[in-house]
Amino acid sequence: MDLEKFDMKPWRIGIAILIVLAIVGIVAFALTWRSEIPAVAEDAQPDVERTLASKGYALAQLGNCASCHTAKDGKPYAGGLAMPTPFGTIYSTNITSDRDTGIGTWSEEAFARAMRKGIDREGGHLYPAFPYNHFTKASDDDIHALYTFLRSVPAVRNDVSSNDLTFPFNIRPLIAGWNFLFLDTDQLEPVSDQSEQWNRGRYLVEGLTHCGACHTPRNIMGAEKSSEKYQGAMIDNWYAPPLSGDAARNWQADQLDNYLATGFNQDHGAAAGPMAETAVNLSQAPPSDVEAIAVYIASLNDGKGQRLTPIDNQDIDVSASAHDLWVGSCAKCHESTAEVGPSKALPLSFSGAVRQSSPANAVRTIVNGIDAYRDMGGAYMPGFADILSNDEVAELAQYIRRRYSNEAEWSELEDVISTARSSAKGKE
Amino acid sequence: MSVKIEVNGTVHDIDGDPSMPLLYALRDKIGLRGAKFGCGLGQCGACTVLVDGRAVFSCITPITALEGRSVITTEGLLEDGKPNRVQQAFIDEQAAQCGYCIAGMVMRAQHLLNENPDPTDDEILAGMQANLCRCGTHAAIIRAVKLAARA
Repeated sequence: MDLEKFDMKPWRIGIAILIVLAIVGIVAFALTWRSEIPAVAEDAQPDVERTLASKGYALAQLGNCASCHTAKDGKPYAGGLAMPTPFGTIYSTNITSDRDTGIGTWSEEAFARAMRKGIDREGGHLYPAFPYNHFTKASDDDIHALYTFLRSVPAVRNDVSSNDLTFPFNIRPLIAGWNFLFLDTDQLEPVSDQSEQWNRGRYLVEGLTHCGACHTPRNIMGAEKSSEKYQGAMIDNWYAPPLSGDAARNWQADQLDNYLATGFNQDHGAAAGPMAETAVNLSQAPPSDVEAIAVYIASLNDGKGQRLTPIDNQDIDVSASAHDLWVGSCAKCHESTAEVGPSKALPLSFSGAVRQSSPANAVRTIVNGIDAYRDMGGAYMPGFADILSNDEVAELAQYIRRRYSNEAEWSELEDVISTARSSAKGKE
Repeated sequence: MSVKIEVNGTVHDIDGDPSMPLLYALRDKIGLRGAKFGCGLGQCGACTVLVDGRAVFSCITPITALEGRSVITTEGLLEDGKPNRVQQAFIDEQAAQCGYCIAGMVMRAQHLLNENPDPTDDEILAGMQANLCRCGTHAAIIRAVKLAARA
């Protein structure tokens, strides 16, 4: 090319170079520039949309569904847990969405009828071991969310054993009479002079969370005694202590909240046995709901309870061997009367189990230990089933009772100890 | 005061406080140093021995609870002075890093296999759960238990 043919004055060359540079600059900017997203305001809540299934999961944790509907070492919600009752053994059902052995063929209408009225899809009466007398208080929205969640649980084929009930309790239609006597399907009306939080707690406690199923004694027909509501009862050879009345007065709402959410409170101790499962479930539930439960339960008392003060009756007259067992097996963790020891070992005068009228919980904890919080960093205690004989467990239990409480000695320890030992290999 | 305890088939007269942990009696009075002091609280398993065939934490077992009972330690597992099947499996799998937990692990594994000669993988994990290895050789330890079970 002959450049002499173009009229290339120097200033024109300069402009051309500038134009090229400008274009390069614009293209480079267009290729690299990204818009800034405005910062979140300091007090703004993250905009997280909770799906229906995750709401249902939270409700399932609040309702302890998996605790009964999962067998030892079984798949979640696939049922088959044997539940001993005075009327025989009931096996929990498979509530996964398997069409043959679960509830995969159940419409939401069928699920809602089971929750509200204790009737299965085929029209059969369910046994009140399934606490529909509580679940009937659940709202339509919550039943909808629970149904949505259960549909999301992987289907598991598990044909659970048939119930093994004695006559006449094996005749399901008789439950219609039970329902007539004991089932109240009316929804709870909010109490207007109580807080929203208290009403939320009441809705859960009386409904899905079904605290009364364990903590209220049952009558000869297996129904919760309304006259002794929350007065404490034996369940699976554990003692579910009173939630109201004098024996529960020392529980403050903040202590309950802490206990329910973590399985441990330093003024009362660790949840063990079936309550440990409940605490582990509640640790997965919305903290605001657990707090609401605590507020409602605490309101069942007069609020005049005092914080417990340590007890250490060192002058008690006990056998040297009991003291030796205490020193050799217990004292390394539990010797302080004020400080919580390693693995959340309680000063024993704060332990509810040591103060309770029933020795069941103290004995079962000595024999089987506490191992429910292995993955949570919670309370832990080794079991002494293989270390101490029945007589030694009895001696130790009475030693602890006399030294660290001002209550009367326990009676009938032998039966409780042999029961605890035979339960050592049960569902823990 | 003295307490009679049977360890690896021999009865020993232990002169000392009846509340003394079995672990101290084994190490300091009898001279069996296999079982180790880890936490002293029944949490780590380094002190595990067999009492009447059951694995227990010897650090929280007072000797007064052992009258008439039989204690087996890792030294008691030797057969003609040689490692037994469980011990040999731990050697074959080189399951030790620092080795501090291993005597306890061996006793826990021996107990597991005595109770259940053909455990599944899940049963091995559950059965060994009470014992901790701070070096993190659990994978090799589990292999050793499998080898001992299936050799």
